[in-house]
Amino acid sequence: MSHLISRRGALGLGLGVAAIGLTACGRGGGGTDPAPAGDGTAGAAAGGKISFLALGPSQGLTDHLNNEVIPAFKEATGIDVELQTSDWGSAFQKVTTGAASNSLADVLVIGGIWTAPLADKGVLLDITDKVNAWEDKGEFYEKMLADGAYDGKNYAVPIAADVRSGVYRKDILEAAGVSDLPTTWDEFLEAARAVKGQDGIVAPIDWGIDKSIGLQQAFAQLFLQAGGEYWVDGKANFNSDAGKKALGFLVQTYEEGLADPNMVYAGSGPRPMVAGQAAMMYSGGQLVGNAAQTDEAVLDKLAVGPGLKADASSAPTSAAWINKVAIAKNSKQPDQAWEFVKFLASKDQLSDVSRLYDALPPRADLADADWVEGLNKQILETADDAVSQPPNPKMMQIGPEITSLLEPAIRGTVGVDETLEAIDAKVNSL
Amino acid sequence: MPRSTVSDAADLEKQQRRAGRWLLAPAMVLLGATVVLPLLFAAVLSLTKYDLLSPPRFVGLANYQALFTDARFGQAVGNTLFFAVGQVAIGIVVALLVAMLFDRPLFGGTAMRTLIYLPQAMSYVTVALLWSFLYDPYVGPINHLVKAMGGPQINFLTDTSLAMPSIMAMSLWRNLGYYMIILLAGLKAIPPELPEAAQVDGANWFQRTWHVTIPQLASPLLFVAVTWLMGGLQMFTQAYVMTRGGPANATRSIVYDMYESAFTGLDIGRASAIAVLMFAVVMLIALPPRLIAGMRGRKARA
Repeated sequence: MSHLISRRGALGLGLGVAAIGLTACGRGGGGTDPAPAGDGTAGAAAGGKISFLALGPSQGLTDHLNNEVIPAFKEATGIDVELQTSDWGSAFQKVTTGAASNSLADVLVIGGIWTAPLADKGVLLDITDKVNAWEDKGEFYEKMLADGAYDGKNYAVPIAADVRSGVYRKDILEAAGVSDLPTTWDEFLEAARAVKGQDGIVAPIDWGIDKSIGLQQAFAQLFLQAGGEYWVDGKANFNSDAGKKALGFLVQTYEEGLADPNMVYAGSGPRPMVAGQAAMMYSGGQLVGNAAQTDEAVLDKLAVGPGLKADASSAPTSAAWINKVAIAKNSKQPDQAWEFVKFLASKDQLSDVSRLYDALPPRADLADADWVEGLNKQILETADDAVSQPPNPKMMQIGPEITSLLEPAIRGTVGVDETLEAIDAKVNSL
Repeated sequence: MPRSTVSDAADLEKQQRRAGRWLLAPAMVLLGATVVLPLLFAAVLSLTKYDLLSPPRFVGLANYQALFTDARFGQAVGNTLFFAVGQVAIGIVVALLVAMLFDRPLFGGTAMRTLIYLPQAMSYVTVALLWSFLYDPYVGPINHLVKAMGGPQINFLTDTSLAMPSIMAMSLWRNLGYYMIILLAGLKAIPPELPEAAQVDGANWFQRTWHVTIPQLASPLLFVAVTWLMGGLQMFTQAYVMTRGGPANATRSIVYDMYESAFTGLDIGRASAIAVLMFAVVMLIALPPRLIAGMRGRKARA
């Protein structure tokens, strides 16, 4: 039994309840288009002011936006930009409550898996026509541009690509007698076994577990390497051969003591790889950035390997997490907002923005940028094999739910089959 | 007493009550607007499926049914009770012992009292970040010390059996001073003749504490127990900052579950249902002592 309650009716119930009522109902009327998307060629009206919500920027990026990008944009277009920032931890909450209360910034950064959940809820403006008419469109890597699309429509433009491949401490591997970087899961395991017990090593493999959804991301890349498909006939498909293979492999590394469930990155300080407590990790620019910030000497000891293959016959696969910029559907100045998106994603601006996000530029014409060298160049070379998680409106819930169900599995308290059954049941129930 | 004097006294009391009601009115209006109405609104939302971004849909008691059959919510309830009851049970004993220590002349007593109270002045987020560092298995000073003494690495926040006790220890450290001060004030209010008389009668320290001090401290102890328990039931910041409810949901609390339902799951209906249930439980805990105190007051006046 379910009945729709009109927004006005809900408001009536909460008459005078400013605290909750305004947040819940401020958007009004289910959200209507404030303006047509435009054809993408129309220039913005001169002047005006828009707001930009940058999520998870480093201090360097915040300074760069304030001191370089925004003044340059103002000079070029006459449009003022008010910069807002938020850490990733509370970012989704800020975006959803901002959208609900009609106070969301005109332009906002969105995370890797956010396109579908936000587009499905009507938070983002459909910019398909604008993107199609944009002269720079062809410069973006096709897969990365597609990451900003949902249901055949473009909602966001990529600005920073966190491509993750195998990254290794070559000094530790060499000391353990491993001369070639792994290309398959079996070789990966063999290398880890060789490294186990080396001086200072807590666990050879750091799966990138953090307090957020790092564990789900680790499983996701293995699942994709095993050829897994998230959905079959609209139903979750983790309890499949690929799922069993991926989770079995992940759990095996913990069972053999090659990974440690207590190796949880708290978000500050050197990562275990940088600290010499682990020697193998699926990572990319973030690890390089962490090394640069906490122990520059480690940079020379890192080596980037290819995306792993589940077995010799399968395709190498690396993972990509793409930060994008989108326009709020309720933006009162969508044309000015689009001007800013184009400016931010232009070749001149995007290089520094990507670099300061500790990520790689999603434009092919920036592949030879000065700073894209050494490790970054090696990481970018694996981008051809990179896949993103498939879009789904429930992706924001799926990540924490899967993480929560995987934790007992890596601790050995729940079996692989039981875990995968539980994941499918939970995801389907969402 | 002449009848007119009785009547005057009754009139005066009536006038005082009326004046009291008027003086209270602004506060009551404010409380109504900021507490009662939001609560009613939450109760209504708890009967809906609502994601903040599209109109709420009436679903009856489905959110409550879902909660009562959700094993993870059950785990959150168990965790919260473990945290709240454990914290109060340990905390109240320790706070009382410390208060009794400070109730006697002590060299440097004032400075020590201030030191114990000091953590209360820090925000929970700051304390949680500080203790996250202290607990860190690789760079934290506690583990450095343990390893230096030849002990094993202790995974305070990532071991499922240690995470909640570790958070509890941190919360005790932060809150102990506040409740200790309340109990100390209660101890200071006990007439010294009472324990002295018991001592003259031959009662030892334990007997004096059990039969004199604790009965005399009944009201402050009840206040401390109820407020500390209610605070414990609302545990959120520690879990959010230190563990995000992990590992394996070992520190997932009711309020954390509510937060995640609302802002990650965009399930405001479920979050509201949790809020309503929480309110009912807190009322069940907070109301009886108030009613008993009111009855005692009326009996004393009669």
